[in-house]
Amino acid sequence: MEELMGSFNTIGIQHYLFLSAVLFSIGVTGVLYRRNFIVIFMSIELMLNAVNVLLAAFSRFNGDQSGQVFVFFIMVVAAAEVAVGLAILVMIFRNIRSTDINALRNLKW
Amino acid sequence: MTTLVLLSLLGFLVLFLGAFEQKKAILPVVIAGLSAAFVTNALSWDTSQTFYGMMRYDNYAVSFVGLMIFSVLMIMLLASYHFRNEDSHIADIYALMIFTLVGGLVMVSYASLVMLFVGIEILSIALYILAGSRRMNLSSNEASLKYFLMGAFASGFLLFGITLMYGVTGSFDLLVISDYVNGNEELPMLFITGVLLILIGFSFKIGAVPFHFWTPDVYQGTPTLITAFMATVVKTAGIAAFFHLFDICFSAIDGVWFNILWVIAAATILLGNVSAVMQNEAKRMLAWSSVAHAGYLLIPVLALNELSASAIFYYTAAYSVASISAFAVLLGISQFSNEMPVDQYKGLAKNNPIMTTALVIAMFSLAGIPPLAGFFGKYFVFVTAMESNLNIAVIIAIAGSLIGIYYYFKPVIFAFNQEVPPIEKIKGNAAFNFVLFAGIIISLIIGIFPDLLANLPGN
Repeated sequence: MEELMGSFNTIGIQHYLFLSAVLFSIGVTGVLYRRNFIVIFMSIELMLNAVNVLLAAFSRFNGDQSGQVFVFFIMVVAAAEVAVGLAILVMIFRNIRSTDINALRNLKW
Repeated sequence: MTTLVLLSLLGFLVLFLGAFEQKKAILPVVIAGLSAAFVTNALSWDTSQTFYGMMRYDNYAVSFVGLMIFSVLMIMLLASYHFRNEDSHIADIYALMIFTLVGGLVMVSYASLVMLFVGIEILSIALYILAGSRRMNLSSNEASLKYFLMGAFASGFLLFGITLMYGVTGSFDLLVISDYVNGNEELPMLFITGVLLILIGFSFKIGAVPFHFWTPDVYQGTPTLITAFMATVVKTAGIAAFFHLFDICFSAIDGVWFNILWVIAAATILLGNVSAVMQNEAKRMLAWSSVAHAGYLLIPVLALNELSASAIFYYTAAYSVASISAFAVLLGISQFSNEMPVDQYKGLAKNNPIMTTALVIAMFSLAGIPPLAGFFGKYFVFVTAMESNLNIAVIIAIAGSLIGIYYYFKPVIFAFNQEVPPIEKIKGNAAFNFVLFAGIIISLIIGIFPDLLANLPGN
C-alpha cells in the first residue's frame, strides 16, 4: 500500500499532459477517419474530455480553482452540444435512413 | 451589460410569444427590442466597464455590437418578408437569431478565455439549429451536420489551446496572459503550442484556408436567410474575437504566429477568389467570396498596429451591409428554391429596378469599386498593412480583388441581359424594399463619408 501511494506521488504533470494529448489525438483521428457520424460525434466528445482531464490536472498543479470551474463550463456546453447534435442526427436519419456520412453528398465542390 | 441582459430577455420573450401563438406581435417586439438594445449599447460608449474580470465592455465591443445588432435587424426584416406566407416556427428562428447575437456580443467583449469559449458556443449552438431549420430539406440537413461537426471539432482545438495556455500561465485572464507573455523572454513549448492550436480553432471558425473546406457546402445548404446571417454577424464576431485575443495577448510574440498567419491570409485570399470565379451557383459564389473576405480581414490582424481595429471595423461594416443586400436580392429571386444558378439574375433590370440597383451597389461594394464602402474598406486594410510593411501581402490582396471584379460583375451583367426569360414579376413587401434601400444608402454614405465609421473602435 505504502509503495502504491508512493508511486502515485511520482505521477507528475507531464503524465497527465501525455495522457490527454493521446486522448485528444485519438479523438482527432476518429473525426478524420471514421465514416459513421455517431462515431465521429463520440470522437469529438473524446477530444473535449481530454481537455477536461488536462484542465483538472493543471488546476491541481497550479493550485488554482478556476481550471476546475472551467471543466464544469465545458461539461455544460458539451451537454448542450450533445442535445443539439443528436437532434440533428435524428433529423438526418429520418430523411436518409443511414448513419454513413458518405450518404450525404448533396453539396459538392 | 444592459445590452446583454436585454437581448437575452428579448430572446426568451420571443420564444414565449411563439409558444402562446401571438404571431402578429413577434416582429414588432423583435424590432423594438433590437432597437432598444442598439440604444443601450450606444449609451455605453466611452464608459468602458469591466465585469468581474470576465467581460470588458469598451468602445471596441460597443462598435462591433452596434454593427451586429444592425445586421440582425436587417436580417429580421428580411425574415419577415421571407416567411410572410409561412407561419410555423418563426418565433423559434427569431429567438435563435437573437441568442446567436448574444453569443456574438460575448465574443467581442470577453476579458477571459472562459468567456471567449462560452461566447463561441452560444453563437455556434444556436447556429447549428438555424442551419438545419428546413428539416425536410436534405441540403439543409447536410449543411447543419457539417457545420455542427466542424464547429465542434474546431472548439476542441480552441479548448486544448486555452487549456495549455492556462497550464502555463495559471490564469484565463487576458491581462495576466499578456503580462506573462511580456515578462518572459523564452516561452515554453506548451505555450507556443497553445497559441497555434487557438489559431487553428479560430481559422476554422472564420473559414480561412486550409480550414475553409466546410464553408461553401454549409453556406450553400443552409437556408439563404441564415446564410446571410452567417456571412455577416458570425464573420464579424469571429474576426473581432480573433483580433481582440491577438491584440491583447500575443502582440509581443509575433515571431510564433506571424509567418503561419501570413500564409493563411494569402492562401485564403487567392483560393477564395479563384474558386469563386469557377462557381456557377450564385450562393456558392458568395460563399467563396466570403472566404476571400475573411482573408482580407486577416491582414489587419497580421499588421496588428493601432490602425488595425478601425480597419477591421470599417471593413466588416462595409462587407456586412453589402452582403445583406446581395443575399436579400438572392432571396427575392430564388425564394425557397435550392437551385440558384448565376443566370437566374437574367432580366432582373427590366423586372425589378430597385432590386437591380441594390444588386449593383452590393456587388460593386464587395468588389471594391470607388466611391462605395467596400473600396474604403480595402483601402483602410491596405493602409494598415503598409504601416507594418506588409507590402507583399498587399500586392496579393490587390491581385485577389482584381480577380474578384470578374465574378462580382457576372450577376450584374446577367441582370442587364436583354433577352428576358418569361419569369413572373418579383414583388417585395415594404420590409424587403426597406432593407434594399438601407443597403444602397448606407453603402453610398459610408463610402462617400468614410470618416463616419473610420475611427470608431478606437483604443
